[in-house]
Amino acid sequence: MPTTAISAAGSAAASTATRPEDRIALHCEATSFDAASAQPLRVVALRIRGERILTGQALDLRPGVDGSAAMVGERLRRFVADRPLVGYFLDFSVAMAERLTGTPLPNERVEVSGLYYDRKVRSASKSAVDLRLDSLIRDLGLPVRAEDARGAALAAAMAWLTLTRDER
Amino acid sequence: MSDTSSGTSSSTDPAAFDFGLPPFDLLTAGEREGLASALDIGIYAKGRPLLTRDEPVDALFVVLRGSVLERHGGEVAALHGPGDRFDLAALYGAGPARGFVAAEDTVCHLIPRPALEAAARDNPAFGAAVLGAFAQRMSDLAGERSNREMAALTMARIRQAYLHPPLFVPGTASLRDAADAMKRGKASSVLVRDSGPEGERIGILTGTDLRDLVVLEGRPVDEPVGPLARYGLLTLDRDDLLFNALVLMTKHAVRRIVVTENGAVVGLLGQSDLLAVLSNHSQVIGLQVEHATDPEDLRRASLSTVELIRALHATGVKVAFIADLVTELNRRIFRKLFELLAPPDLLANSCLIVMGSEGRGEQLLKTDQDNGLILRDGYHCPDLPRIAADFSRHLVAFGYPPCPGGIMVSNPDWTRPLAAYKDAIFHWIHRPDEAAQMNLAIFYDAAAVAGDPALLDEAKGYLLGRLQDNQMFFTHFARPTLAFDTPSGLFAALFERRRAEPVDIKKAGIFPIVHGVRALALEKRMTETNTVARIWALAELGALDRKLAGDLAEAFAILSTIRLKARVDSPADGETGTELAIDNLVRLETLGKLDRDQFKDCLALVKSFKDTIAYHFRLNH
Repeated sequence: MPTTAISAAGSAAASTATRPEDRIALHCEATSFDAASAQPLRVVALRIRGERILTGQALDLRPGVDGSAAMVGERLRRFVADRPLVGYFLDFSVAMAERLTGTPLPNERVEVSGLYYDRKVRSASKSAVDLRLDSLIRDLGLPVRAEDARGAALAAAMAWLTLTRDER
Repeated sequence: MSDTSSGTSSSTDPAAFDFGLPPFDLLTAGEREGLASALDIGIYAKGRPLLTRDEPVDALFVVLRGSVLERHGGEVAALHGPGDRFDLAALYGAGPARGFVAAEDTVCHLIPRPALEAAARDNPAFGAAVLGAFAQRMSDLAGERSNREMAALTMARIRQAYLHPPLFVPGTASLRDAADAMKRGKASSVLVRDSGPEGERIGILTGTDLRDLVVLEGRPVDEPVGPLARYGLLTLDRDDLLFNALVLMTKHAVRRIVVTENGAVVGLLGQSDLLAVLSNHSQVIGLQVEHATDPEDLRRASLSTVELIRALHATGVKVAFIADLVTELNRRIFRKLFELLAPPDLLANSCLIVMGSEGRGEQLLKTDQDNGLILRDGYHCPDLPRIAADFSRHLVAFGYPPCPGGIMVSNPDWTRPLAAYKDAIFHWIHRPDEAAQMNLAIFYDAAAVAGDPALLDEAKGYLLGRLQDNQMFFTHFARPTLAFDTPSGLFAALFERRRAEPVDIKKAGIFPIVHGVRALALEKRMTETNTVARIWALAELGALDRKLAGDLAEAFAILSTIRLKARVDSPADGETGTELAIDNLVRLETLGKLDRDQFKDCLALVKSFKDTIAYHFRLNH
């Protein structure tokens, strides 16, 4: 039973015009949530540039369907380059991505559930913070449904833009 | 979870674009899918600007959630809510700049300009609804452009036309002598140098005059021409505009005028030569080449072209004219040389081709040879290796350096039967490596110069027929468009470079245009080879926005001009000055302010064209 794992969002800049401010939202769907044994099924990467999520240039690939795992990994590696990654349950997505690229991804990582937790704790809520992605989307009022890898990547990108707007 | 059907969920997906909104409801299901996949999403906190006056607008915004204030001057001009779109005017550079600010937390769909234009193209009703207001503006722009081209044409000088060498007879010569001189000189008139009592005067006697005098008036053929010639010649200086010559001829109903330089008669300009220049700028040198009888004659003609280019450039002739001229000259030289060297059966059974910039007709000065020979299948010429070697050797002597990649007739890889060319094309397309890609690119630009052009047509037909709608192939083919960095169009960046290194104008500006346009043309299976011709053909097809096409063609002309200028002005390396250095480096501090501004604008355009290409061919993945 395939599982939607977590996606991270990140931004990739065009290969010609590297924009240092770009990030990548990344999300991988895999055969399980066990990073040690899961096989990646689908990887989605979205570029975030300024306040825009470049969904029109999304990388959305299924290893074995859209090319060999190595080829998908190579395209992913080029798309991501050295840009910071953001995502929900990002460590898992990065582990899957590394399985595809065959090399460690040293990119900076930003976990949106962590950003969300920090905000909730600051607002001194007495109850435990509900970190489920669906709850996070509902609470932040994001116009997205995280029902597949693309939705999860988009949700992570939107959450990152919303949660960091005061610092940007 | 992976089996979630996006088809059924999209109707309720809060991030989905609402195609129920007019005019988007005009789109078909397929067009909706295409547009939806191209959308970006923007998320703006309350108070954040969406568009500022200084920011280039690259997308149409459609509000998904929230609202946006439009400010014009200090005033609020409009409030845009969900489903509203902006700012088409800014997208097409019309109207005063306005500012857009999120009135609350806002999410917008952004339709990138190329996607919007693709949808407008595929669906004319949608196009009319969304872009209608700008149709007029675009046709106005088209009008401006043809005026500009007309202006370029009227810039041509008499110097560019072929002048018949003046054929003088003394005033004492008989009518028969004059007719004989015309016959021998293949001329339709003679100039009469008559020494009268008040000094020497020059008149003209034409074939028509002879007919009238002898046949109609019955004058004896031994009557002297001095008193019969017409004096009061219409003359213009060699540096006068050709257009003035046309006006003068029309006004006086004559078909030729006398051309002077520093007051001395240097030749005759015929009406047909003038019209030939106005429609085809190649007459100047054509005749010299046609009359060549051995390679040495050709070599002289070839070496004189550099001076010709300098002169044309110095008299303000447009670079596009110069390129036409040089292309035509080079091709005539190649054809003549091949005809001199090759036996008739080889001529009949082969096709000499030129490739790369030579094939595109964009040669400004002599650059590396890029040529080849296609042989008819089954034909064998035992002498071929020697002929091919001679051909390449002579061209080197003419000043065309050998191709470092060996793309020349003397290399058996480029002198081979049609079937072998087809095999090579198959390989280039299906097993592309770096060399194959370059070969494919330059071969796509090939033009036939001598022999049977049907052979090249067949090879190119094969090439276009082999292409499949394989996005990976075109992505791969187009990728070199982005190979070199184009320095930012920002003046600040250029200013810093002024002191630093010069800009390689070929890599930064010309190559991206040439290759990007080539990739688009190949994708559309076009047969044009010239970059500007391709640009306009793409615009005709609707594959390229007309305004962008016009801007690109102009930028290409300007960059080519600056490049030529850089070469012509670079200090002559030799004392002879017969060859111009091949130098693509432009030193900004040597450009005038006007050129520098134009250069900056061109580079900015090239940069945005590269983005368009990257988007179109999905090169960023």
